[in-house]
Amino acid sequence: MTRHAPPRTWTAGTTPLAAGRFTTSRAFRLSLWLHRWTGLIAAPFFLILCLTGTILIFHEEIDEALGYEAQIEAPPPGAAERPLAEIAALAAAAMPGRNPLALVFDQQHPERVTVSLVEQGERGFDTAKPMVFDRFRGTPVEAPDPRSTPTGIVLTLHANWFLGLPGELAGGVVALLVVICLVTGIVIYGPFIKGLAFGMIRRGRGERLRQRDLHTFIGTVTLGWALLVSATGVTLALGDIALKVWQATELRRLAATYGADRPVTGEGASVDAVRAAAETAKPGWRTSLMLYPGSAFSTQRHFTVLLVGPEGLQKRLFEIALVDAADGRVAEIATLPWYLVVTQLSQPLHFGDYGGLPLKLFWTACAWFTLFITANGAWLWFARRPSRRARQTA
Amino acid sequence: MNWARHPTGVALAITGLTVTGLALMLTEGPTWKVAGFLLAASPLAAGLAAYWVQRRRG
Repeated sequence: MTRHAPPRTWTAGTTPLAAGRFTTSRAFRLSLWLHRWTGLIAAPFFLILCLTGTILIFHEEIDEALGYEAQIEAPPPGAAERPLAEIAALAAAAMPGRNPLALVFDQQHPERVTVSLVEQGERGFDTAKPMVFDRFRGTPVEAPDPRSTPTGIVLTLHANWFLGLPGELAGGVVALLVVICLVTGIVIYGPFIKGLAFGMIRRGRGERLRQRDLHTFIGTVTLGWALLVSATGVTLALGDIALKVWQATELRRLAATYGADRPVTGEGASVDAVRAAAETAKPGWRTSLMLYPGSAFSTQRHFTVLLVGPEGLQKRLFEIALVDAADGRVAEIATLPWYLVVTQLSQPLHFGDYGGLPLKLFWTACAWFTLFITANGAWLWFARRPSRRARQTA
Repeated sequence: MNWARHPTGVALAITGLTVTGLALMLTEGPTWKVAGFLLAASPLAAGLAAYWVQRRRG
């Protein structure tokens, strides 16, 4: 993101002729232009993303410290889980006029289940109200809507700038600009560090040179992290579109294959039977989310049950069980299409929440180093302007 | 590989270390988690070490 000429002097052991040719090449000039302008345009947005991202790295600790974490007592010894049907009925009774849309199971907290309720006719989660229940006592647990907590608000700002899908896509554009800035940075930085030892920051030869050395040096050591986080930022920004593609293709295919346009009349299978059928069909896999028939992510006749695997990457990748609500039979277990696999794997690689405190600290350090080189890159460009004016005057 | 002689190669190698380390950490095994973290953090650690060495040399 810098606007500086490549060094004109070369130390022994380098190849000044080749480097000189390169710096006058069209590829170099185009990369320098792209690096400068993508960096400058993305800088203010990236500043906000880095600050909010740093807060989100520690969202669990912040929620707990502010008292937004649901507190559930340990289950009594030998206690059995309450039937899910009973919990869903309790939730519906507590919010008259609303029906359960989904049951969400927290893998980190198996003692709780969240029932999402929506008004009659609603199919999506936009207006859903969550109710958390103790699975062993069947009692509601006081827990705020995660979207209304301080970290929830910060997450909305980080993910979509309070603008919904357009905001998500705008965030994706910013992430894409950062990716371009980083890739072009790799192309152009060579001539600027030729002859320098790794870690060497030249002092006493002007602030500009010192800042430029810091820019290239810190940029190099944080490059992998910055590339990964910005590239996964692009894929996450496209996550809603990926889901819509799945709805329009895979879900439609499942509905057509299994005659799912006929809603179930009468009582049908209980939600507990549906869950048991899905887990029996995929031994060792656990239910993570159950979507009721008629939701935007299921058919009129089937429950959609997301199952997570027992170990390794399977814990992060769902398989989708389509369970008939009439008799609780599993119609099909579908694997995630590649674009949803990419979205799923992008989440941990973007948020850095899969390695405990050491990884959180690593994420914070990289975020702040990246923020520093963004700011000092902008400074290098602004600091360049007076000298250019002076040159023009001369 | 020398940073000054092959800057782009070193930058790509460092990027590869970080990305490979972070990807390894996605697996749940504790050994892979630790190895992945060490790999991912090695560029940052090497950078800090090199910075201090150069600073002390003046």
